[in-house]
Amino acid sequence: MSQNKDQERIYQELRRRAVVEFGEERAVELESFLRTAAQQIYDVEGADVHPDLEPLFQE
Amino acid sequence: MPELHELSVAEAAAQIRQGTLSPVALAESLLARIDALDGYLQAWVTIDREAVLSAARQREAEVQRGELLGPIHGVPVGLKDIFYTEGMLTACGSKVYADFVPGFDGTSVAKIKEAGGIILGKAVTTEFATSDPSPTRNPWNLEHTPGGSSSGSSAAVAARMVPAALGSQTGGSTCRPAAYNGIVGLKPTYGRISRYGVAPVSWSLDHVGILTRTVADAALMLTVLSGADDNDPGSLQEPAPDFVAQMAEHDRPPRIGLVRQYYQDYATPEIWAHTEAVANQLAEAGAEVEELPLPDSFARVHSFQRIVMNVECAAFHQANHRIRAADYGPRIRGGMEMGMIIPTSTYMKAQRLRRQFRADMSELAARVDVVMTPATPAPAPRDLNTTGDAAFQQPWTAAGLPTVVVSTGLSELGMPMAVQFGGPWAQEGRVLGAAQWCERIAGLNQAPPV
Repeated sequence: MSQNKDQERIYQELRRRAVVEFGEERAVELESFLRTAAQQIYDVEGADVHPDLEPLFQE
Repeated sequence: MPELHELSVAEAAAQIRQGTLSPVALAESLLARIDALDGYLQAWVTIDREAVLSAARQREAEVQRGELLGPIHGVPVGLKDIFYTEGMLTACGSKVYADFVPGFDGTSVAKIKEAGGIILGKAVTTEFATSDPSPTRNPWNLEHTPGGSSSGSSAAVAARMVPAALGSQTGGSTCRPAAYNGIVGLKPTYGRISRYGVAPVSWSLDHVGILTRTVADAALMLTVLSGADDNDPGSLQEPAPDFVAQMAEHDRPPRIGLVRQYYQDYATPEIWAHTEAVANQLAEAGAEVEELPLPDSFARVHSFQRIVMNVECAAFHQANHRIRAADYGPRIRGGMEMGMIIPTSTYMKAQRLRRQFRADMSELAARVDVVMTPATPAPAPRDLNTTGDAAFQQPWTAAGLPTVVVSTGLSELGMPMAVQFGGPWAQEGRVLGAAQWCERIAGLNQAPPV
């Protein structure tokens, strides 16, 4: 699947969550935030990580 | 003789120790400077004049008795208005915390007092140290942003209202405004300075930052503020060294790794040309300059930094958001709402990518004495509706590695330009030493035209 299609799928899922959490009117206001977040999620989910790599928290 | 408000922390502290400078006269000079300038700079939110003068009188009496409390005895320091101050309003630039008066001093505030420092007042912050702009103006040109989120702290230090102020950095909130205002910014290693009693943005990214006019002052303030703190789970447990002494050991021509990749493309031609000119100037003065390639993990750092920040910000504000969402500014509200709907598995993957990134950046930094980049993609924008671009700080914040920003020139429009030095984990002394050497060779050393 192309990058654009993957990002659009992520955006649609985020938007669905935004409507559930904040309502349709607020989801419309959040359009630019949703597009940016979809790009960020796409970047992160597209990265390879070693199976043994643990998360970095406070240390 | 410089006017009293021009004195650096080290100069003022030395003169007070020698008995040639009155802490009361110094405090009065800075308060008069604030009276003269803050009507249009808007760098301060709360100043308790009587408390300042009372503390100054106490410090003066102690000097006369030969009872110096510590290395900054009698020197006023400003605090970004997210640092908890016992009995003093800490509004965090927010309607949500508009009436918040903490019942205790944050660890940094307590350390300043223990070292003899005087809390001059609370400096303006953007709302909860995020990106909705504050009213503060840039002292180099009132039509330009001072940057953020430590906007008041930076403008106040640049305008000679106070010799040092505390800021914070979750993305670029100390070193970016330092660059925009022509001063020195220090973001230490993650956990080097306790965040106890500092309103959080993002627990795993937040750092306390230091804003001064000289690198030596940054080292002195870091020595005062550092140390393990059981109240901060992210606190570095190793003993804090004397950073002034460490800086002196490393104050020599360094081996510099200049990063061209990404930074040249993202910066304006003017900023990149300036950065190369500074690198050449340093090389002519004896530094070894080589170019360093970035690790592959760098490509995603801005995305995972923002995901971590938004999710953790949402976690902190969730309860208030439920009942007071409309009281938040548009950018912090939008960001935290994204944090509420980003999948948990994505947040965890972002934190896993951070671990790899820190290892990669640590390896990069270990190849040289310091890594050098431009401090910002452009000088402070002529736009008061933005705090500018933190893209050149976010990678270092995400990695938790120390950085120092040194101002090195003025743009065609007369706005400051700066370079940023980064180093390995817990090696602030090395970075400060290189920065001080650079400051001597190429430092701006100029006050804004206020």
